[in-house]
Amino acid sequence: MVRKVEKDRIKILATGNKTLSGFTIIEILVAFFILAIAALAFSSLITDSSRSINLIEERFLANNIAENLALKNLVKDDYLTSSQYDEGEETFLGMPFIWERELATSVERNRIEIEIKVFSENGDLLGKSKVFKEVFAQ
Amino acid sequence: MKGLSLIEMLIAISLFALLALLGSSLLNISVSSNLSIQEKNDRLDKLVLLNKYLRQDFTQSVNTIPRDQMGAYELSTMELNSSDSDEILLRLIKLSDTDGLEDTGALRKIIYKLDNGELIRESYRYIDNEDPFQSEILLDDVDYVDLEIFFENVSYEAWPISEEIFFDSSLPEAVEVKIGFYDLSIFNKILLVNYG
Repeated sequence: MVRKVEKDRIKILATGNKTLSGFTIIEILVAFFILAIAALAFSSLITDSSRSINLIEERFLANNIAENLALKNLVKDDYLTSSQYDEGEETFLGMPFIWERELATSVERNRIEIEIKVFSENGDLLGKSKVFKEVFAQ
Repeated sequence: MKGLSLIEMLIAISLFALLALLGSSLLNISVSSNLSIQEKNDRLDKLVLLNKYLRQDFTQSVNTIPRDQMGAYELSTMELNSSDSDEILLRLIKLSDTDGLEDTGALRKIIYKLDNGELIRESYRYIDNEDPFQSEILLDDVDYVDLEIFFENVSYEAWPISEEIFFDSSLPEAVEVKIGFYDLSIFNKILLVNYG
């Protein structure tokens, strides 16, 4: 007798509310899919921030190279060759860079304009520096 | 009411496991990338600060007249790699940008030295002070610091070149500071001191 009542209660509990229903598998799949997209967006955020710090570092180093080369050309004559255009490679703090040097002479003002441009290995311009060197007529 | 079948549950749980795996690896990546970014940022910060200090110290050490504590005037000087002590790289005696009426004092001595892989900048209020008034570690993991001194188209390793030039013109045209780290990377910086 007692058992019968118990069984009935369980039956009532299980089927009591006919409107109650869980998510269907399709709904769960869609939810997971959306979650996955959000996670993907988050991961792209991480790579973005690491890329921007790399860019900042590259620019900082490239500008340092440009300034160094420009000043070296300024204070030492043997860095200055007669060719108007020169280029080379430089490693700075373990990172490779490519530099270009262009000379422009201004006869009236007795000076040489030295411009250094520094590029990444892919050819992106990262930094430049320009100095004027006084030349005295011989 | 019909619940999910076992197969559906299995699929859902395995999907959840996959996502959890993805999430944990994402977390892992974000933590490690954050660490590396922080490391890079720290190094950049230090280099920027070093740049600032070097530029400030070199350009302000122009040929002005510093005093000692007793008020006696002395020549403004720049000593590079020429100290009796091995660890002292450069010793600059210079006038600061204040007028000397404030308690910061207008007369200062700046010393850069390398000690156990640390590049240290010490500043003294008066040129004959024994203890630094400020001491700061600028860089870590420094293996060596080389100096190349430019003066009239010739490079030197130390400054002053001779007593004669020391009194005649106490400042070089430019100085290249080359800092080698333990990881073999090199940072160099050329600074104009007294050019043109």
